[in-house]
Amino acid sequence: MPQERAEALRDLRSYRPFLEQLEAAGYEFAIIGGCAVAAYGRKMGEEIFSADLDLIVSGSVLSDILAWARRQPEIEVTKTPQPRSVPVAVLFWSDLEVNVLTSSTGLPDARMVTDMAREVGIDGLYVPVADPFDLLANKLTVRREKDLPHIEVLKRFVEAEIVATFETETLPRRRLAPARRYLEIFGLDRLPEDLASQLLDRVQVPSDLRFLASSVPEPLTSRVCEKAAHDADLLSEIEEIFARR
Amino acid sequence: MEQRAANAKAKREGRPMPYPNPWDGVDPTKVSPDASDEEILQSYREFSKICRKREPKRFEI
Repeated sequence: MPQERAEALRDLRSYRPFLEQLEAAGYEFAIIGGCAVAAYGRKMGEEIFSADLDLIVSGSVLSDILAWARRQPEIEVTKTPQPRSVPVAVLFWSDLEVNVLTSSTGLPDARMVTDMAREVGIDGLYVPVADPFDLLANKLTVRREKDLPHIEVLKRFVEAEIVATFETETLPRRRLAPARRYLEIFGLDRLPEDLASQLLDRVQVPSDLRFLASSVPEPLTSRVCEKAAHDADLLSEIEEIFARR
Repeated sequence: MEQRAANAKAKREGRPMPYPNPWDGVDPTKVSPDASDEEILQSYREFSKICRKREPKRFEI
């Protein structure tokens, strides 16, 4: 690969025309990899280097995209999936490298990743970016040295989402879903103390307290009781939950 | 990894990173590198307006 091509990705807007063409062609895809993680970085200049654009598609879509790419004069197909090797195709659009994959270690099935992808606006064009929880599961499974900053960025993003969900969501199961997913992905029984404390500040319904009773770290259990003190039945339930911890 | 080393060197020297986050120019909701937890939370709220989740399909029987 020419050196100048490897350094081409500086601004996502460079890819906008390519992504617009892909959208117009009707192919279901999602951005994954370093570029996807970078979308969720909240701080300017967050250390998320990505030299290329990684996309995930289902197996049948990959062959369709390759056929489409070969018909586009500005796209060069430099690698196609080979038998008994990682199913990835490599395209160059102008000098920008695009890797098209059908799977990635730790990510759910490609269809699920594209279905659950979030849509992020690039100058009015909404492009699918893999769900941050899916990306986190992927990075935690692979856990290479270079993935550690990605894990930190995603962790910070999903923690903000968990708190914001407690602020705004009204449906009880939706209020708790991000926090439950966080525990599952990290393999934890208890939430980090700072995160749990922020959730305790935002309790709205009894199901919040039942969940927190089982998931707050020990130093915060008294706060759960304080929040339930006005309801004797709820407090009794919570004490039973504590007894089962 | 060479690009990360170049970024780290630029940071040490107080220069802009040669390989910044490619979304920096696209996402107006980002905050400064020393943002507080509350600022990051606010940044998340703003980002949510340009980052749409797929809504679950609903049916009525």
